[in-house]
Order: sequence, then structure tokens, then C-alpha cells
Amino acid sequence: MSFETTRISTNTTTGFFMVKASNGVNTVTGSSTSNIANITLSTLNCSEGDEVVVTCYYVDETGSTSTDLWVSAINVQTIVTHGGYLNIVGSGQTLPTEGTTSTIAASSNIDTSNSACGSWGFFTANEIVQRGFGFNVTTSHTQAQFRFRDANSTAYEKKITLPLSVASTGTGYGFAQFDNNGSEIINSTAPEKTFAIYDHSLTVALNPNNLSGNTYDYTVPGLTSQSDLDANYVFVRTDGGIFNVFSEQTTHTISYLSPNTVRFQWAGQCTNLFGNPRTCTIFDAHTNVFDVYILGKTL
Amino acid sequence: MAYGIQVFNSVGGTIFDSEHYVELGAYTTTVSDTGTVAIPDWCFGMDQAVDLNTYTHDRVTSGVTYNNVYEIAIKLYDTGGVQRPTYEQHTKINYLDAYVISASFTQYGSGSDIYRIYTMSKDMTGIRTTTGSNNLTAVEVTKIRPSLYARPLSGTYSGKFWGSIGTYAVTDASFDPTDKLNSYAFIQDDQVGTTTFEIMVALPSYVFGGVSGTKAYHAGSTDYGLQVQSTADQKHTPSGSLVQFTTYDTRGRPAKPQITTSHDVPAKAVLNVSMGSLATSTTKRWCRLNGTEYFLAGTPSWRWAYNWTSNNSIALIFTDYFGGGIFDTLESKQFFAVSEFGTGL
Repeated sequence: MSFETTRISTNTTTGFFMVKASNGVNTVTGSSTSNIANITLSTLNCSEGDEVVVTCYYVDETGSTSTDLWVSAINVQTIVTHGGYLNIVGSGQTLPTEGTTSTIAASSNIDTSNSACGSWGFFTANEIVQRGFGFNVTTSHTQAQFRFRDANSTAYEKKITLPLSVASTGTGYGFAQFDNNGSEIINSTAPEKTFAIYDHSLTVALNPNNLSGNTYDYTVPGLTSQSDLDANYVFVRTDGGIFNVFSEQTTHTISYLSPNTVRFQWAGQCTNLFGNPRTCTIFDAHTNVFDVYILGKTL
Repeated sequence: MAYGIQVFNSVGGTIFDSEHYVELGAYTTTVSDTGTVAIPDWCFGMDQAVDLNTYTHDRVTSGVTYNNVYEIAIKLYDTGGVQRPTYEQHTKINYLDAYVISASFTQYGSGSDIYRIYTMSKDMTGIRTTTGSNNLTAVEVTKIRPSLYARPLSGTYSGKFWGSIGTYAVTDASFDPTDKLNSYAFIQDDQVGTTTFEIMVALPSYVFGGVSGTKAYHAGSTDYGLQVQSTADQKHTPSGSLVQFTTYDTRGRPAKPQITTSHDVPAKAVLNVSMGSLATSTTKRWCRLNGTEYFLAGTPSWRWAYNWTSNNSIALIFTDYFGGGIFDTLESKQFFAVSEFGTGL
């Protein structure tokens, strides 16, 4: 995808806006030299699941060194709630490379207040300033609306309307499952997660921490961090808990060690019959049995 | 993977394949926060239980003190003079189709007459004072701990709730002598009045596939759809025959986590924990309760609960709103999830 720098018009005293939306296959553009006029783009033909990148350009012809270009979004909620995402380039975020987008996880990351979108910094006259974002197309939405504005004056605010022609790919590839009433249960064209059981009846026997053999390192695919472990890896004990009162009650500590590796470590206390601490022995070894569930990783 | 089927999501994550089992919704019911609801045996793999060897034991007909009609004294040594290990839960006795619920830890008597007192699922008074013997057949069962999900039935509910699976005692009014496990689910919440919750029991697909008949199906039909199987080198129990395991089945509904988190054992203080943001949706969410069943050691009223503001706003709270239970103490990090099982449910 080329980076468009073509001037639309020079008939302005302050500058002009130009906006481009593309799914990597088709591109629509629009522009306005009016400070307040909204822009309605031509219909962008795309397919479900496409990433659409919307880029706004602003050309300042006054030689000002303080003009900012802000971007916020309206009607984004309807996109986000149906599995799409929106990446507004704002404070603390980076502008996506032309033709690419960065995924944000949830609507809470979308900052719809203009003031939080950050500053562009300075630029000189006749430079073209670019801001942009991306979102995933769903068949539920045939229109997206966004707002750009020059921070120096709300009068420069422009609402961008992007009609979408979305071809469903749900039956074109992948896997979809429906119930008897046609309600969708799962669809592989979305980033759906399931509780996939990676290991069944994993047995981990550990000695107490004052003896060797008190840890066990276990390899899992796709693990990147402790927070990733907490959110996407589940170790379900099948040997104890409420279903077997005679089994060992203490569960090993399970923590992130390094990429793709978790560490099991003996946990517990060694006490005598009176509840007082004593030195742990080999008889304090614990054996836990787990089913290991992994969510949303490539197995 | 060298064979079979793989299905990935739009970002390359595995949805299911022929080798890895997926958690499938299998049983739904409702329960009020003032009661319990029975969970059928098949949710615990009982449809694939295997009978082990049968041994004959003489009864002890005198000198035994019983606490209720369900107890019977059985000698440790079988009629061949071989000491047998304590018969565990589910063991069958050839009288009234009864089975073992529990065994006394204490041994009574001496020598070859040493015995334990077993609590059975049915009235044993018809045989326990009559000289004779009984056949005992141990039953081997898949070790399965199902996932328990719940959600409020009302669309306007707001409150905090937790829940778990328990077992009816033989003396409970709800005890069913034809049921081998007598498991039940319950929910407690912080609301005044009666609240009804929907319950979902989800099973690993290898257990789901071992359920007899169509009772676990929540979608599709036996006439169409997709069933994914492992190779035929699996066993439901150590003594079971080699079979293929189901790894996915379109007659089930996979649990699809929307927000998840794990948390270490907290201190004894109210703690609110965000699980992240839920997209606004009319598809009703389910809270995975398995992490809420434990209480803080020494303080049975302190435990994790889901803080349900609406279908689109669900968080965790560690609090002392709730009464104690008979369950395990909270000793390790717990996992929590809010899931969907697809639309139309």
C-alpha cells in the first residue's frame, strides 16, 4: 500500500483533511477543504474479518508549528461489541505502520475523549500529518463513523462516515457450528477461545522444599508471561478437593518460569501433632494430579 | 499433528483438534439460592464405570453397634481368608442393588473377625443380623471433576454469588438411593429473598463422549454434525477397554471464555478484582464457579464470589458475605472465567 501524499486542494487558508480507508485490497478516499464539513466516503467493499485501516491526513499551509490532529471515534461501541477492535492512535500508543493495525483487547482501551488522544508534537508548514486506526469488519455492521479534528479548533472537527459492503465469509471457509434453531455456537472466523485440554492426568510428585526434587518444570505452548499463565492456562486438580477428602489437600505452587515453561513447587507446612513446626521429611512429599487446560493458544 | 482434524480461530489459536479434548456444556438445570439441585451421576463419568473383581465376605451378626439402618459390618477378610483393602465409594453389594457410601476408618474386632462398618445406600437391617455372606464388587470410575457454571435467571439481577458441588448424606431428605453419587449443586448469594440461578455442568469431551444416549446433547442431532475422535488407545478407567475418546462433538456446546483471571489467596479483607471488560452483548454469560468453592482457612465465611452487576459487567470479589460450608480451605491460586456457550442458550 502506498502512502498517499497527493494534495487535494490548495484553496484553503488553514489546511485540508484527507481520509483514506483500505482493507488492503480496496481503497476509498475522501477530502474536504471546509473546516466543518463532514466526509462521507464511497462504499468500501470488504469481507468479514478483514482489517480495515483508516488513515487521516492533515495538511497545514499556514506555517504554524502548533497544529495538532486529533482523532476520536463515534459509534465504535457497536463495532467493539461484535468482536471487532479499534485501535485509535492516541496517548501512549503508536501509529500503526501504513497498512497494518495493532490489536487492542477491549473497549476500555478505546479512548473516545479527544483530550486523551495525545499530542502529535510539532510539524512545519506543508507537512502532511497522519493519524490512523484499524478495526475488524463484521457482517453485523455496514457503516463505521469516526471523528477527526484539529486540536486548535473544534470547528475543524470532521465526522467521517465509511459505508461498508461486507461479504460474509462464514460459509466460505473455516468452521461454524449451529444449534437446532440456527443459533451460532462457534465460528472459527472469530478469535474464539475454548477450554482445550492440553494434558490429561498430569501427575506431579514433589518433595518438600528442604529436599531435592521440590520443583518440576513443565513445558506448555505459547506461554509468554505470568499474566498470560494466569489468564490462559488452567491447572485443574483431579485428585483432591471436595471429591476426595482422603487425598492430599495442599496444591503445588504453579508459576511462570520462562517462555513456554511453568514451574511446580512443593507448598505446605510441616507440623507435628500439636501443630508446631518441624523439619520436613520425605514423607511430606505431595503428589497432585492435574488436567491442564489451555485457552486460545496454538496446540 | 500427524493425523485428524485441527480447527483454529481467526488468530491461529486452537479451537479443537483430534488430540486435545475440549470442555463441553452437558447438563443444565436451575436452583434457588435457598436450596440444592441434584446433579446426575453421568456428569461424573459413571456411564463408563467398570466392575472389578467380586469377593465374598461374611457378615458380623452380633456385638456391633449401629447408628442408622444404612450401616452393616463386613469382615476385612474374605471367605478365602484374604484381607481385602477397604471397599471404596460405589462398591456394589448383592443386596437391594445397594452400594457403599463410606467406610469407617476404625477397625473393630480382632483376628480373622476384624471388620469395618460400612454405610450403604439402602436399608441393611434385613441382612445385617442374619448369619451369612455377601458379594462385594468394587467399581472403577473415571476421575473427573466437572466444571460448574451459573448465572442468574433474571435479566435484572445484581448481586454477589458463589457455588459448588456437594454430596447428599444418606440421611438427607433429598438422598436418592438409586443414585450412586448423590451429588448436588447449590448457589449462595447476598440478596434478600429467593433468587433463581441457572446451572451448567461442563465436561471434558472425553467424558462427554462416554455418556450413554443423548442426554448430554444441547445442540444438533445424532443425524448430522461433526464428531472428532482420538485414536483407539485410550481408557476411561485403568481396567476399562481400549476405546476412542471424543475430542469434539457438535452436539455439545463448547465453553468459550470471554474474560478470565487467576488470583492468589488474599488476605482477610474485602478485595475487588477486575476480570477485564466484557463486550456488550445479549448473549447471556456464565460464571465458572470452581474457584469459589473454597473458604479462607479458619474463617469459613470468607471466599471468592462473582460480583454480577449486569450481563455486561462482571467482576470478582473476595468477601465475607457468605456462610461457611463443608468444603476445602483456600490454599492455592484459583482460576476464574466468564464464558459463553454460544447463542440460543
